[in-house]
Amino acid sequence: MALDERAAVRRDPGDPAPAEAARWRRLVSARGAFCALVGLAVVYLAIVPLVTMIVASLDGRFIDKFGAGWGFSYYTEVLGNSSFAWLLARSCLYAGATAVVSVIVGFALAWLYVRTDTPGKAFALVVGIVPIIIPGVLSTVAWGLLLSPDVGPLNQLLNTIGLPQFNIYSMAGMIFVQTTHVVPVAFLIASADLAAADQSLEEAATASGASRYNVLRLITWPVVRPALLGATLLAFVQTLSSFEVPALIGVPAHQTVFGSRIYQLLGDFPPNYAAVGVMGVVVLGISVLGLYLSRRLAGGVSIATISGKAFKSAPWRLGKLRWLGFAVLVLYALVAVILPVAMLLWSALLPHYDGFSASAIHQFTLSNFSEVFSGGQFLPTLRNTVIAAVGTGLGVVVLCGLAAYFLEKSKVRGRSILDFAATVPIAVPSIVMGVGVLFWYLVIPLPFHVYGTLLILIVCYITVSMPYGMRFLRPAIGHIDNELEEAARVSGARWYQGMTRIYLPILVPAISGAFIFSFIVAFRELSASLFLYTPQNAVISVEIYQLFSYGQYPQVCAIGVVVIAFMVICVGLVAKLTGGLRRGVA
Amino acid sequence: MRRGGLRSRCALALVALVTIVASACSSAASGSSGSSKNNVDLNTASVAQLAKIAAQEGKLVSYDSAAADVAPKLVAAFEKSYPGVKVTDDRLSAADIPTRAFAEERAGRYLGDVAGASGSYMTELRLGGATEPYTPPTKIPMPAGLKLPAGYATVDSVDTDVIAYNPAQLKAHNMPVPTTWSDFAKPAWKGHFSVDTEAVDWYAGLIAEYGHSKALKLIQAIGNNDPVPVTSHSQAVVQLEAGSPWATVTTFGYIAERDHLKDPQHVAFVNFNPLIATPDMTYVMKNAPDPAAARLYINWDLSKAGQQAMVDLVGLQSLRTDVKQDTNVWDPSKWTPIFGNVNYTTQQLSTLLSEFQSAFHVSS
Repeated sequence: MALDERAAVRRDPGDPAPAEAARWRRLVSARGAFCALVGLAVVYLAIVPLVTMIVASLDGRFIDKFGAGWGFSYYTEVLGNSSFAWLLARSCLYAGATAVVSVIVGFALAWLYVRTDTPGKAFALVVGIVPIIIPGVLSTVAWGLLLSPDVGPLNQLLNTIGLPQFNIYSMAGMIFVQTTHVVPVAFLIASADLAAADQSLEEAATASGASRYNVLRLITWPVVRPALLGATLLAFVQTLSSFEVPALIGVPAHQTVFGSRIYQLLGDFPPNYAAVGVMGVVVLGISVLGLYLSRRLAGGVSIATISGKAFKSAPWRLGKLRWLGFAVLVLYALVAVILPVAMLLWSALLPHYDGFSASAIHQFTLSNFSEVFSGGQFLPTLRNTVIAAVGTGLGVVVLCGLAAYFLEKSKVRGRSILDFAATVPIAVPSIVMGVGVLFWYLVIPLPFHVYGTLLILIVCYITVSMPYGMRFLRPAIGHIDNELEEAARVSGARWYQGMTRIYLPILVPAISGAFIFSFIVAFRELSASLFLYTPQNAVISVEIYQLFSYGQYPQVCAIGVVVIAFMVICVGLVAKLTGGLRRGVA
Repeated sequence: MRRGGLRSRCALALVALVTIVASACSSAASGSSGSSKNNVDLNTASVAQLAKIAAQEGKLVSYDSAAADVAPKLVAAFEKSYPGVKVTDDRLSAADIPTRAFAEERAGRYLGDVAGASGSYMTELRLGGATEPYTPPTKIPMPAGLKLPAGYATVDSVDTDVIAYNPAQLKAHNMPVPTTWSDFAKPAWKGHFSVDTEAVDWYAGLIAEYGHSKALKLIQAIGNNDPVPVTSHSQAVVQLEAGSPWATVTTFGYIAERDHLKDPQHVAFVNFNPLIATPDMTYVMKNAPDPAAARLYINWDLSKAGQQAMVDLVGLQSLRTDVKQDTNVWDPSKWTPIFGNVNYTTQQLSTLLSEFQSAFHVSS
């Protein structure tokens, strides 16, 4: 029964509300129109770049005036190239292996955090979340320095103890570094899922004499399987889309994958935009196939939610092994946070790039920090980044909040399209989204310029962040009982009053969670930004990448230290004030 | 029935989207920066006239690919001479400058006023129609062997291709200092040197020195000796200074000299004779939003004051004979410069890039 119908049934005969009811009916239809507007906005953001890229892959003259006309010639050219099969295989190996390792590590950490009596739960939560805050380009730089051949401190340590060096410039190195970027997402999904799952079933099985193995196999596994597959898909798509690791580690290792190849193609002369479109379509196709397979394997259950109800239950007692669990957490913290940040700090304090040594301490200087603040592009790019990230956060909250409201609380027809459009960007690598957005705003005849402005970045970031925003806001709105809104309505409250006085206060944690997550996504984003930036809208991730390319390692590290401190303060403040990220981990 | 209706509407919506996208193809850009709002022909205007109009424009956007510390110093020197023009310098890799310019042209939003990079990348820009010819009143005579098209002879510096190495590492590994490019094709150097994967002008210089066939075989042999790819000439020197790899075949004399002066134990370099030299050009961008400021900047850049500032502040070499140079880097009486071709056609340039990238397995 529709919301307005139920309200009509419950109305008392003496209710002085016919005029109010008429106004509500008008509002309901206005709400339908508003819903359509929101739907159009979401569809525009999610679908237009993809359609643009598909058109560009088929029409050589779409971007390039000298290109060939319509046809599949670019598909034949790109897919028929002998190196394409290797590129495909290498990219799938990179993304697949990273996804599997990340999900294993993320779920293991989440299990220790949610389900066991491992000491240091607060520490585990911090360790699970903080790596998200560190921009991927910075941790990639840090690991490149830590494991630099011969001179990297960790390789020097391995040499000292008689072990062979680890070659960071290899496929294994790429998988290792990218895993540190993706584990936090798997951890968040797994934590939410494990906390939301009713543990009484496991307890009942244990009480009935089932072994721990059987409990895991017969009860825990079916419960976590959808989340596990969802996390695997997300890790796969994020890795396929990544640029930092393929560019900074993969290229020196001669391990070109889709991210770096698309960037190279844009730099070809003459630029081969159609081939870029073809490559984007291939990446999109692989991601969509992954989404389809993960849904099939999950038995039609949707991929994991980032929120849910917690069921208080006794944790698994690990006995003496609990300290082993704690050691695993410490080891992860070392790899994901402590070592990379320490490397950045160390290099930031040295006048030039050098390894760890006692003698280097005498050279410590703050000159890199003063250089960063006194000139160059740091402050303008930081300002641009903050504006873009805040704009993205607000945009995601408003758009996803309204979309989630209409999906959960209305019966407007065509909601499935809205649902699809708001979710589909999760299967679209941000590098593909960046190319699509670039192509679209290069060709669309608008009365004002979008290319070269912060707006183009915000549009792209909002699109990329939408699925995450929906995952915070939709369950939260779904949990709000319709009767609250109805009660407000029969008490004479206007629609917007119901929204602001009922929904908003209840949704503060979810809204802040969606805001923080989108803010972080925007702050970290590099792969799409590289295609969209100009001097007017350059952001900090691009500045870091450019400086690294020019060998300005100490300055990069100084910027990195400042950016991480800035992010920790911003995210910490918002989370403290609103309890935002706690929703992400139940 | 209703599902079918929904599908039809979805299909219609998709068709509408595709139509919008397709109609967007027809957008085009136009414009010209050859004259100012004051109806002064900027291509024939004097420096004083340009300065006056540039002050009204008040700003300038420059795309350049020089080492990170180069542009800020030059920009500061220019702004000191012309305080009314605020310069925004956007540092890009040489390969990214044409990509940026072509995107701006397609979007019809022209942001850059001038662009500066080495020979073949500026040729890309010229061939792609992203620049405008300009013959400034301030001229630098071109040396023999360097021929540029009319309106594109604005060479503001010369990059010399040298081998840089880490003396401490060579000593530790009992390696001799390399004496020819082909040393890097030898097994002893396997995996211990770097190559900038955008150094296509070095290849153009090798072609000028050895001829196409021999030069191609040389870079293929070097490329098959497992070089470490780097993304810039500066990064190459920073890495070898830290100790790994031990040397680079693609850096410029001024970068190696700068770091050698700071840390002679870990950075040294070799000039060969003949010395491969690549001209760095600065061009006015097509439809530059600040066309007078763009031309003023080029004039300042080529002037004696601008060139001396360039040599003194950042160590680049000038083709002018009336400025004092660093003779460790540029001394035509000791090392005869040889210039790579910068007059390629689109097809030739595409082939050159393709051969270079293939030799160094750039997209492998």
